[in-house]
Amino acid sequence: MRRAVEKMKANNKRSTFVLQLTAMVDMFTIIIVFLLKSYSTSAVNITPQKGLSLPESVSIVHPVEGIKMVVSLEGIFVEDKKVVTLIDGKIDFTETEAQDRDFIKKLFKELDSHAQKSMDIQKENKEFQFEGKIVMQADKKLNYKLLKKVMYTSSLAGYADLKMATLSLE
Amino acid sequence: MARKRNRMNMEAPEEPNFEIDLSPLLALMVTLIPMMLLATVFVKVSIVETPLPQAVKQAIEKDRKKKKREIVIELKMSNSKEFDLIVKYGASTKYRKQVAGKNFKENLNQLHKHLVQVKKQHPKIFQIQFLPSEEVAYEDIVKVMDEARKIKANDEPIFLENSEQNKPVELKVMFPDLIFKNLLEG
Repeated sequence: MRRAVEKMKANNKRSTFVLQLTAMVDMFTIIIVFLLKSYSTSAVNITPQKGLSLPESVSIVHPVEGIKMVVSLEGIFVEDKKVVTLIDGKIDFTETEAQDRDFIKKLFKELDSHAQKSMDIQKENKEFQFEGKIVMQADKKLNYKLLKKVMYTSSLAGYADLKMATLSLE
Repeated sequence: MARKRNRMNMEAPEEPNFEIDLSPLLALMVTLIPMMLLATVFVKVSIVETPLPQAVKQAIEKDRKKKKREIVIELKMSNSKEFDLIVKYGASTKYRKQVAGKNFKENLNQLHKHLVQVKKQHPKIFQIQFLPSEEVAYEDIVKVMDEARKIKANDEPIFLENSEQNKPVELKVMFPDLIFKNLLEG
């Protein structure tokens, strides 16, 4: 026993402190592989807003460049700017036109200003073309009544090509 | 003596003189991981588009460009998640199927079967005019769109005549163009 302790002491004296990195490298390799798998190479990425639950779909095409519109239970956002406030997914009737209840005034104003900007760019730059594309992220709990108003107003503002963002099931 | 030396050799193995320097690899990973964590999208909103055969693509484009339609397919969806599928030739109704069960999933399956039947009769039509009721949830609208868009693996194959190659092409899509007909009706 005494001899064994002495031998251990002798061995300890000989070796310096070496950090074992193998396990850490293994872990990092796994993390890198996982991240590479979930890394998106698409030019346009859509990150769902916090608290927004998108519907699930089996068939989705690539997201396209367009005006980003979010319709959540709290409000309607255009390019991250809150345009209309909703209360539990319902719109106040004062937000709509008296003669046309499907027309959301503030949303039209905001979208129209974006359309105008795009038209101005188009005048200066011939390569740029205003296509009226809009990518809508809407909460799955919303009803068609509200979405109909949103789609109707968007089409009147010149955004007739509406793309619905959904979660990929595949 | 020789035996003693051998024993000593066994007890004190030679120290390895070859060691890989892992520090550059670690430095690289420490840089890569935060960069990828920032750029990675954990919720995928996009997937690869399904490539369609040339003949099918052409047929879809041709159908989209039609200004006047002789045959119109209408799909109505009520607040109680029941369906009414109508095929109109001009003003007259030629085909009508109603799906009115209590279970929405079962209703969707039934609707899909009817849509397959309609597609079989009209393989060159790719558009459906959709009329959901106002209280229908967006989630359910997307589900209906999914059912109408694609032919499932266990469905009967549907073929489209290809005049260029004189060979029918199997369709993978049914009605990719779903138009909200009641959008402008107010």
